[in-house]
Amino acid sequence: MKTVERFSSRVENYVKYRPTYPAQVLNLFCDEMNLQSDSTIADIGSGTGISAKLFLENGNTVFGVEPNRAMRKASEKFLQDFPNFKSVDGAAEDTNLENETVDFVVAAQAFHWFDKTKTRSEFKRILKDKGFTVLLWNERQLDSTVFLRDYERLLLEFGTDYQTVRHENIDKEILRDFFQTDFEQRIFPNVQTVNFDGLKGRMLSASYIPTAENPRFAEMLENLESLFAQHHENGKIEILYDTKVFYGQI
Amino acid sequence: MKSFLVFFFIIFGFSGLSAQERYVLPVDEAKKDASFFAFRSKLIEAAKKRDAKFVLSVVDRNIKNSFGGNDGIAEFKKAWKIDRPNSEFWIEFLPIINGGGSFVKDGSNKLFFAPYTFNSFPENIDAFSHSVIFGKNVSLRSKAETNSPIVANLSYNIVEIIESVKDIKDLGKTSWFEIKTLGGKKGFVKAEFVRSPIDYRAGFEKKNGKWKMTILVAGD
Repeated sequence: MKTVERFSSRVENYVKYRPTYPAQVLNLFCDEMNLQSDSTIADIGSGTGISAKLFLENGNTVFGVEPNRAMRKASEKFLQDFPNFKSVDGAAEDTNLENETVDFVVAAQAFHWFDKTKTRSEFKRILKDKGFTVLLWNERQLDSTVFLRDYERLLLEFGTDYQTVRHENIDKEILRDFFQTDFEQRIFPNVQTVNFDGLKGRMLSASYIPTAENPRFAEMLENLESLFAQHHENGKIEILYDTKVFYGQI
Repeated sequence: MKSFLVFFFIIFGFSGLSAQERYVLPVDEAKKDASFFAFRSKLIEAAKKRDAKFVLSVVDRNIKNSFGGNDGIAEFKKAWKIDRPNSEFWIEFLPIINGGGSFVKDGSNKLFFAPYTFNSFPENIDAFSHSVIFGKNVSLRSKAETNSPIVANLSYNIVEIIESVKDIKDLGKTSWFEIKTLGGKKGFVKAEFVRSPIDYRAGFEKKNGKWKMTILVAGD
């Protein structure tokens, strides 16, 4: 329902504020990082609490660190049946958590919004010895389906500065600087299913897409319509993402 | 000529300085639809009287309660415990239903969203780091104390949230916000007069000829 989420339907905000995990991510925590039911998690940028719920259902104590009061209120209501959910007014750079209190720091927000130096020392401060830092985000796949390939071509053709802003790929160098030690990377497929309005809304809200005043606007929409008509199944289309997970002990 | 120039400077120089201020002025379109207006008047009365029975009678059975998928009237009752006289529902709901709002089309449906701060907030300002002054002549103070000097009076300004200030008695609660207006005025405002565009909002739709509350969510 697009009208009820006016702001996160903007592409940038969707990535930044509405992270969703595929189920395999929790298995990765258990299998590779020894997540136990009594482990303590700091969920950085916990938003409305959707990601925290995964860990709460696993029995964990979760500190939901979120700077926005309305988001915190929403998460506190959503997770009120979980006494192990602790809502905290804080941000990545300043979490307001005590020293050495958590086994995991999970930051599902796109990493490029953080002040890397401050965030690193803050994570180090709140993590217990041998604790894990886990960074994860979604990136749209560019050519795994015919639809995604055609969609990417459309963005390249009509997007005004799409070339420069497309896929803010995080350089391995930046991650290495952040972790300052060996870190692991895993990629999981993730999917978002949208109808035409959803696809159109998602595209039009991107900063690089021309607005209605642009002479090519109508042509662009026609292209999108025919793209949708060509590829939809029962009025729905799948946008595939890679959920990228980076983890290590900083 | 000189006085004309001074006049010119005052008008344009001043408006130049204050041009950065932006506002979200109250909007109330309820009267555009007589049936909705009548429905809302009854709901406001019920909210004032904390009439849980009436409120529940207008809650849609599939009401959207969150972005996490726990929708429906049973979840609504569980989340808000509305039958308890001290339910926080009443504290949250009164400013919503009294806060104006506007109609919006969602496919073939017409929805009314309240309060106005959700629908009227501009798209080109980050709704996550900004809020609006929810009232007229709200005191901007130099400290987070009611007896500290007033820096300015604000009405409906869009403000950037710098920091929230915790209540001394109840540390879980935010009692003041340190804010900066888009025009650069800085200071502290009581939390009840600062509203985030993504704070709780209610959505109303006509279902089988009757107005129902189909959405009550915060966040985005």
